[in-house]
Amino acid sequence: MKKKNRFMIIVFLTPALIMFFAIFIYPIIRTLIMSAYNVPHVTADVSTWTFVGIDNFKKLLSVNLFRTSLWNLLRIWLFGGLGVMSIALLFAVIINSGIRFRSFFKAVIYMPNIVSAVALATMWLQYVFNNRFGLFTTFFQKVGWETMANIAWLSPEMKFTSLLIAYSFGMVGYHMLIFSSGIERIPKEMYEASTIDGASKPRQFTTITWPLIKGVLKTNIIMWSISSVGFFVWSQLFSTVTADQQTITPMVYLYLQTFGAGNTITERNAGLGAAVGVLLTIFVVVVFIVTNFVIKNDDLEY
Amino acid sequence: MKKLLSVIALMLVCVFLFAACGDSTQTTSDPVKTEDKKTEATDAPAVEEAKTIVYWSMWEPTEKQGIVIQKAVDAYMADTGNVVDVQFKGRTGQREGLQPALDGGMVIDLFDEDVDRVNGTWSAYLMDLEALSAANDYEATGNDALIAASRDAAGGTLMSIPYQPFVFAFAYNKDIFTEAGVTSSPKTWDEFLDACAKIKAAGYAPLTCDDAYMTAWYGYALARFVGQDGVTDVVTNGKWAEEPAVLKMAQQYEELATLGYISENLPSNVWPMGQNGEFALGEVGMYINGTWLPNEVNAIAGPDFKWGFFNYPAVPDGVDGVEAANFGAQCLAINKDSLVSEEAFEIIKYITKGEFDTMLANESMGIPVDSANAEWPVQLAEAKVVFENLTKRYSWAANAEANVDMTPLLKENFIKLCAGQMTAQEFVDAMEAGS
Amino acid sequence: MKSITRGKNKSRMKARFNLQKEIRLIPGYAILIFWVVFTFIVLGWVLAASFSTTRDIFTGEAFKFSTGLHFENYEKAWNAQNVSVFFTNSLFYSTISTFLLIVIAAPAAYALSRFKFIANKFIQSGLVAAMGVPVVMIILPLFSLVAGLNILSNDLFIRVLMIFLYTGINVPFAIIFLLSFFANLSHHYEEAAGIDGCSPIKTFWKIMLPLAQPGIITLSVFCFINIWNEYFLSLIFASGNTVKPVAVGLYSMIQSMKYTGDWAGMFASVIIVFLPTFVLYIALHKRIISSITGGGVKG
Repeated sequence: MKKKNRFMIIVFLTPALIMFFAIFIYPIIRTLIMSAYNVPHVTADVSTWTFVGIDNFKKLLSVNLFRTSLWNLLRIWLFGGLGVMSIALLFAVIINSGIRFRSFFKAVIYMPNIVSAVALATMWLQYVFNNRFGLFTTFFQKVGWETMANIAWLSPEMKFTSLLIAYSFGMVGYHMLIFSSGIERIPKEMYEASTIDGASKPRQFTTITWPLIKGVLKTNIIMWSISSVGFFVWSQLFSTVTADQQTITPMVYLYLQTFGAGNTITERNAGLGAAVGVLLTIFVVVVFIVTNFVIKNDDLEY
Repeated sequence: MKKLLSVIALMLVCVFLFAACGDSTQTTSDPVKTEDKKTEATDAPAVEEAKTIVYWSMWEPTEKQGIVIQKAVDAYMADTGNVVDVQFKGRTGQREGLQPALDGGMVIDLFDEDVDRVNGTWSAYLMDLEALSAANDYEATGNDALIAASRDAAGGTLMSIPYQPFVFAFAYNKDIFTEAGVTSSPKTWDEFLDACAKIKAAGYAPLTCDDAYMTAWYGYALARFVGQDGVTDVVTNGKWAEEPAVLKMAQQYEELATLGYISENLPSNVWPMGQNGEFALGEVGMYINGTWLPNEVNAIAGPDFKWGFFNYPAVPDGVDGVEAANFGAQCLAINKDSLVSEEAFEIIKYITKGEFDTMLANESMGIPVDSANAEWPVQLAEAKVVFENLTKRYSWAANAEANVDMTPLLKENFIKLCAGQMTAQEFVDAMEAGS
Repeated sequence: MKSITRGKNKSRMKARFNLQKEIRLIPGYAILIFWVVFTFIVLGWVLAASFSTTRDIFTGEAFKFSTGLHFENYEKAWNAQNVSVFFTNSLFYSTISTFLLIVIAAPAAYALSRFKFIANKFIQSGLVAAMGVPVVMIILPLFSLVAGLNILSNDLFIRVLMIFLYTGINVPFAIIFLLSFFANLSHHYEEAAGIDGCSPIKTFWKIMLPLAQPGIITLSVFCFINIWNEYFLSLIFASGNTVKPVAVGLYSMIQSMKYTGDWAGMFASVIIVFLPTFVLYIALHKRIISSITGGGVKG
């Protein structure tokens, strides 16, 4: 590129790179190396490590529980992602379509994202999903919808779905804001011009909105992938003391291997934990690369 | 102007880096490491410099235990003039943060956590306390069973001092028992079934549980047949089909489910719904839990709740009976590199003996450890009877949670078994298939 | 030209009630209102629980208030610890870190999103990888490194360290977030500025940065809230009573209330933590509302 740009690029990138190196490089390299060893605990001295090569990875992929956690993660990422993105996009489009009270709607939809997960989870568990006097049960009873009213939301068969619903609810607002800030940049004149030309709302969406929000869609996909991969607190809240088949995720498995189980003293291998970390990181990077490849940024003028 | 901002930012970053990596020469509180006062000096100098003891505690500062410990520490500071830097890390902060701090060489003299974690996971950091204990004549007024358990957990040497003990047993609602006509707590499995029948006839659910304690319940149930070693064997070596007791125990619970002795809410109970929404409200007769339960549900159960405790009954052809149970404690330990071990032990005495031991027990509805404080809280009176009859100690859940990869499956299948969604044979098959 | 645009704005903002337009929007309203009502019910439950008693919560009567409103839940939560100190700490950490984040991340995101150079994709992937690595694996080794240096007993050093950590931990997030906002801006701006003799650095600060305003403001809100609610990092590094941020202080109260069975009190603590972030969001988000009429390059 042009010479004058080079100086700018260096100046602009240096502070960020310095922070990155100071904070991340040592832990990342350490994690990478740990994944090839049996490590008694995360900060154990190197002399206590025993080399195992790729055994940690082999073990992980052969353990039923870890495979279950991967399967849970995949379903959260795919189904949760599709659900949340669609709803968030829908809301963002509606909000920017000229309705009144925009700020009110945005604020209310975003609010759950700010409330502590502990309170939200407790609310879902003890109020919404409760099988005796919970919100869903009483609502469906009042409406007379027997099958829905009889669902035991927290029993082993339904727990995963309930967890996904609860988590997705809180995430919609966050992703809606991101979509919204992408749509807001599209000048209103474009919509008005096309309305004058006789385009319907759906048509406007496909020809104007969609191409122009590909950028924020990418951002949303990346952010969703990262938060899915780090899915931990909600799992813990939905299954205290001991983990659940229905709610376990790779992060929970990592935690179990790194810190041991809840109350029993179990064998720990932080190397296994590190291996899980490596797998998760690879997943995120792959998603990033593929997304960038599939959704190209067009240099659009507006 | 904006360029200036980015330059300033760069400079700030450098300052931070410098600050984070640089060696700090001045600190506000004297680091103990630079103190070269020998603690074994018997001739006390005329004016002693105030010592600093760093204490990391597993409690939250707002918990009753945290408040009482702070008071004990304040009293110690007032009496001796030493400075105690007590940091309340909370369970998470302690479990996750203590070891990295110790590994990094941070000065921490005193810390506490569960007796098995302290003596098992953190054994490498502990100071041998036999000498200090003898010098302070600690065991004369200590709780023998607990101190024996502490020694046991550390392989024969006393490396930690227990406090805030608990027992894990069946808690029951005395009013429901009376109403149902159950005159004494069951000691055998048949008596247990009998009590369940009576309670069900009286219109209450005999048993319930939360997902959090299902595996602990399972551990007890199986350990009565084959002992804790048997449970460990089954769980870690996958002997679900080979060990006949697994099926026998599963059949017991299949029977409980078929007879309707288990609350129908059990499969949906995510902690604390079972204990808070069922047991504490007086809708259920029995719940296997720890002696911390009265404290936890006090606000809901109210002062009129009549608490009772009995140990898991003996089973036909079983190895263990009511002489075995899971009991344990939190315990205090001293860093083996500590230079103020005597002072730290003194603090331990403040917390675990006398006035503050009583205060701790009263405030947290817990169990005192000073044998001079013989009074247990009234809610735990029967738990005391259980405790005094114990000769064998189970670890948590009788080690049913020892295999991290199997615990979630065990939990889910046991829930299904208790909910009547699985037969005993299906349970065994599912566990065998999953192991 | 300018005056006509302004005139159009004025009439639009006067919200003329156009019936036909409103009717077309009804489905949209309906969907949003349904969601909003549900949100009010569930969050309302949390609020009700904070004024209720533990017993009512678990018998499903949180909304009944048979014993009246229990303000003492809030009193207890506020007085149990030095909550005002925590708030000041959090405010300090969050505002400074967010500011630093924008200053560091915006230029970097600009450079990475619009210019092709050798290490570009590699750096981006590295940043994404950094976000994928579990926080536990990052914080604990760092803590171990720092623990032995004995700086953690000095309050000032802790504060500086916390700012450094909060900023650094969020740098990858901030950069990746801003990438798309800078990427979509037309290259004509830089060309035009270049022709006018503007240096690239000046072009960025004066022209491109303001154009990415919605993204910058959204990012500021997110970063502020992230740092405000940040728990694990603060727990490990800054749990001394004078430097503790709100998340740690009140979260520990939430935990202790769970163990003592004071669930009503727990919800009160949660509301106390939630309110400032919400107030802040309300204050800031009005700036997000776009009035980007006329992007800068007309036709």
